[in-house]
Amino acid sequence: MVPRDVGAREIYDICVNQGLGVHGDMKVYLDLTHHSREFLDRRLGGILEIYEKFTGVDPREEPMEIFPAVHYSMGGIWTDYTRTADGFIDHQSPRNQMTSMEGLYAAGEADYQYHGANRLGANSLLSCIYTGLMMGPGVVNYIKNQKESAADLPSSLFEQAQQQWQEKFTGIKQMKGKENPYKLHAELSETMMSNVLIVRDNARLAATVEKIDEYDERWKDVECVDTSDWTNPVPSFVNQLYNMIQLSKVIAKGALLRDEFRGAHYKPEFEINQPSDFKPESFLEYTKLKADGGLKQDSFKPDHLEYMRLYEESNEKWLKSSIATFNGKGPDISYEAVDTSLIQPRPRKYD
Amino acid sequence: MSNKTITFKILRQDGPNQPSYWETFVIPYLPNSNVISCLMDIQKNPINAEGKKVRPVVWECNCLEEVCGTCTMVINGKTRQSCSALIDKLMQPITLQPLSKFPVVRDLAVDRSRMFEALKRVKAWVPMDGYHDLGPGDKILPDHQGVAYKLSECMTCGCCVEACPQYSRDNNFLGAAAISQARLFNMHPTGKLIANERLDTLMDDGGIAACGNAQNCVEVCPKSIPLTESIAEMGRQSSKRFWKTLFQI
Amino acid sequence: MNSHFFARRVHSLTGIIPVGLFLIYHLYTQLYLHQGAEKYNEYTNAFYESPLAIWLLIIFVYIPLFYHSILGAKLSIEATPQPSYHYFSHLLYWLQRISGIGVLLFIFAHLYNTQVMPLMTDTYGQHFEHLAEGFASAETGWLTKSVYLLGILGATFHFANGINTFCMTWGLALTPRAQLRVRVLSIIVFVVLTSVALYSLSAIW
Repeated sequence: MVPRDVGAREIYDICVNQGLGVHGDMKVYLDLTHHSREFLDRRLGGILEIYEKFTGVDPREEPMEIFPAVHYSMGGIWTDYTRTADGFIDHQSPRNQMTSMEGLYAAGEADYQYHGANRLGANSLLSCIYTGLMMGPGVVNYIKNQKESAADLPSSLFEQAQQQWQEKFTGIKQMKGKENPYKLHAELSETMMSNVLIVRDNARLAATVEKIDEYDERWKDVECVDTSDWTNPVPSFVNQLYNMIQLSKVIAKGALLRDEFRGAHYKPEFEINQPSDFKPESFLEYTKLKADGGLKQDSFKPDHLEYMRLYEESNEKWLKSSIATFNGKGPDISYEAVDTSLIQPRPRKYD
Repeated sequence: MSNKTITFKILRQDGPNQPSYWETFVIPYLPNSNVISCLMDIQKNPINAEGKKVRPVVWECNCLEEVCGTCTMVINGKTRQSCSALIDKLMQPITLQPLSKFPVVRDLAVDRSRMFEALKRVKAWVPMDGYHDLGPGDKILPDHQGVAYKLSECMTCGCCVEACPQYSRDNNFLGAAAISQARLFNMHPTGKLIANERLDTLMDDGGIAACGNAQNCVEVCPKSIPLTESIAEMGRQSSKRFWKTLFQI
Repeated sequence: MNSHFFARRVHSLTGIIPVGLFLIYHLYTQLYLHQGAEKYNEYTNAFYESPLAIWLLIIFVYIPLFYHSILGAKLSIEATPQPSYHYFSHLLYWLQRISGIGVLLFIFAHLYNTQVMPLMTDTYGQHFEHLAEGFASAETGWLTKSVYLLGILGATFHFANGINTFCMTWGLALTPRAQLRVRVLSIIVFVVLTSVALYSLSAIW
């Protein structure tokens, strides 16, 4: 079984580059018909029923038609952690899962720390379990060391904040522009799906960054299509749309600046071709020899050596998390090196 | 460019104590549409069939793949999830109404907290008496899992109680979903420790005796949960308890 | 245990024991119609000779019957029709309620016709002749016949279908397969009881 980014790229290649999608469409077949009905019902009953309900086709008899879709965002709110001397995490530290705002924590899928460039399948559970474990004791310790609690603070602080938000939503309700927010959202979605998805290309990314700036301007001209005061989702949506636009800027700009192919971030022009007979362990040998001073031209095959050199260079430049800070108008991107002290990086190989 | 359209007649209501009114929308047909994608299209262009600009229709949804139960409403007279209501399979004009067994919050959004309260009444959970390490749990055999899994698919969507002639706004009937959940947790090796408490609730006002065996519930359940089997099973368990408490044995 | 639960369980039980059993017994006794007026009247009057008879009737038939039907009528009124759901069991649910109320009304009419009226007109004892006249009457014979027919069908349907809901309520038939078997049994009961009743009626039709 290949990881999802590999599968997604394969399917994309078949449909877009080779034009071999089902009926020329953006779909490929996922065939389960070689299994018995009983086996499928027992192991995959739920999902097969859903497929049948939504398409009218019985996947136990006919192959399913599929295409990759977005269902998770890798990365999220920046959070801290306290590293012990031997490279592990101090379970009791109040810094664990704390954001850049003192006393504000982020946990679970909202944060960024552990999936890297590629989240493994079925690992959302990891987010819950890990962050719960790391954050719980830390938060308790944080609270224990607080001199004041929220109840001790002047109520005017909270009233001010409340008023700020009420004014914000009052302002949104008064927006009478000509843009329907849901239409604008659909356009944003289309732009992101077409340009910042499986395959990334700098020309299109640059154009996308400009386009999103346009959406940012157009947002100011949005009409709040429902101004009533009861169970009204529109002001919330308009507010969220603004946030979505900012987040899209982060994703698009981050992608534009990252000139490499790593994990799910695939920029074909920066792909380093791995020789077909390359073994990942060679890289560990390579770094060891380099450190000992014993690396020679004939230590490895020339194409392997070249590949490893490029790989190493790419890691030096890019084995870093992109960090986005809001500068009032858009994101400033900076980088934070990935801690490789416990596990040495090496190239992936899936054959 | 096809000028096929889809016509919706939606029963709307601006708030809980406001009068309801029908509103018609005509939108362009897109292949593979479902009711929710159409409601989203209405949001993008909220103009009714008379050409009047109106507030977009309010409804609830979440997973969009029929596993959360949020988007339940009455479509062409039948209760079902709107995400899996494919336009190609519906007769037009498509009527959308909120669930009738729950108070309307606005338009198609209703307040289903009664179903959640019902789950609390039957204690639909496995009781734990602390966060200390209780050791490994009891093994559950495949036979048990086969039955329990089907029951656990319940997403509290409200279809069963919507179709039930015995469940109404002015009674406190638990409903098929809660009765079935009581069965699920009475089966569980740790859950069964409070089986009698669940049975007492089922034997109380609005409990299992309020079921009239119309069997609409099992027909409309989107997850094909064997609700009538659950109700019969709980009938058996409560009957046993009936004789025991009657004769104090 | 809640009084409402107790009341509903008693309601369910009374439908079978003793009311349902009485129905079977009553339909059996009407087979005597085929033995002619003399034998029929003799048999019927013999039952009432015992001073205990009327008390047995009241305790074991009338009280459970009226408890069952009046509670049943109350429950029927509290139900909410769900016209959009055309499932077979839903249809049976409503037929059960309609037949229940119908049979209750029939029982009042039947008791009036066979017990109260003869007592009032001092013609008590001529059960066979009274019934046969009612059926043969030129003006009202068709009405009498229709009422009896509906009453019988209603009663046998209500009892047979009640067996199904009884098994569900008490948890005697759990799985769909078991419930199917009970349904088959109830259909047999319905057919047998209706045939017996119609056969009896044919003696004076």
